[in-house]
Amino acid sequence: MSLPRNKIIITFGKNSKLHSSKSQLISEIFGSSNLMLNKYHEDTIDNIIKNVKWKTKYYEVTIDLFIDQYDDLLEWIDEYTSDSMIDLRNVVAGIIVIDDRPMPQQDLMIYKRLNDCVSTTNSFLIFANTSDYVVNDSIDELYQTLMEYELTSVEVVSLNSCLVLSDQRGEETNEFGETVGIKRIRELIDVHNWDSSCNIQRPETGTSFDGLLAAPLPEDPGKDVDLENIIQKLKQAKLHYQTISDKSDADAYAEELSQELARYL
Amino acid sequence: MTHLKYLLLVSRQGKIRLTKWYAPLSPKEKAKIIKNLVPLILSRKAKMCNILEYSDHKVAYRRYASLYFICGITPDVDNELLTLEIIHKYVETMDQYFGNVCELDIIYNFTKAYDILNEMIMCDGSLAETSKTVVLKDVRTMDSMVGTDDLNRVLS
Repeated sequence: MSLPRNKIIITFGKNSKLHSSKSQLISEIFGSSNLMLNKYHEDTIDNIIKNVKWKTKYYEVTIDLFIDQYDDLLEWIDEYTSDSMIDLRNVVAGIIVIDDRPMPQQDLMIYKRLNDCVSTTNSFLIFANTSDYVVNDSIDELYQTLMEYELTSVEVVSLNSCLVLSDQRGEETNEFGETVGIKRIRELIDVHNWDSSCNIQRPETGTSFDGLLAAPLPEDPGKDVDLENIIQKLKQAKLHYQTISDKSDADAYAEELSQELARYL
Repeated sequence: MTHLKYLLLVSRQGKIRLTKWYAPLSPKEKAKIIKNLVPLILSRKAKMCNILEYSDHKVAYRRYASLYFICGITPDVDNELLTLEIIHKYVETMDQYFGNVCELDIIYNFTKAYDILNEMIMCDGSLAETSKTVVLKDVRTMDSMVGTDDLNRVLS
């Protein structure tokens, strides 16, 4: 049985301005409630944070974070793309590189190499640039260059407005209404095409049958019933019904629901 | 009058999120358009014109957040600015339907995105409905009919 492709590597360059606040950045991206930061030692390399829940309004997936750092990005890429790392590459859903590159337009070769890291696999690669000199306009220009060379697997995000990881953030969207910074990283993870081995789950609708109808409806069926409320509850019940995989359980649920409804008809 | 040839919805990474073909094209021709046109548009600078000539027709595109809406139009028949307005109307309608629409909404509700488009543009590429209110009302009616069907299934 193959391992789920649900690992995300977050690798920090030694020049990155966020190198000293790794845990803070990671908790900003992945949610602090998910991470047991008290057990996460800042000065330790090759950290692994397991069973992080990534939730969107459409799905929920459990991921593992591998925290790494490097002195030289090209060496790191060489190591990652080497034959000895094939097992790792087979389980990696994405890579987030955090580095400080003041002249990203001159790093075309690096982007080509980064693109090669993930172009043959269903993985994403986010290059988060922490340089003060890199603004969203220059990211757009860089994008156009990357597109010319068909380096479509690399997503570049400017993190310079996020250097102060607090409420003092810069604007969160650019002139096109596109999210920037940490929000953009989150969005890119959201839209990633997760492998079927990742056990993707629909989020709980929070509707078990207990109290679904009984609480909001009047005890006396003769009283006026809020029809809109019933319809809303029925829609939720329908969603819940669809999530029940066992047929007998689903039938029992439908039977119970219909009996409850019959009281008000 | 407008007769769109096709509408493509592409992410900034070049991933196709939605395609609708209104002209009879072979699969090979469709693949060629996607292969050539998408990098061409994604590599254009922000301040460049949103209308360009491609092959034997014109293309009008507009970027919203990280998504590019690309329309192939017939020269001398279609109005480029009207095409840009149609794109904008489509985005506005989706925005109202989903409530601040994003790429994730389109990925996970692509059938709804197609439903909205089908209400606005007929199968020959001509504009069928310009009213956002009417389009949304029709799509919500469809939703309620689907909901009723599902409910009947549950209760049966």
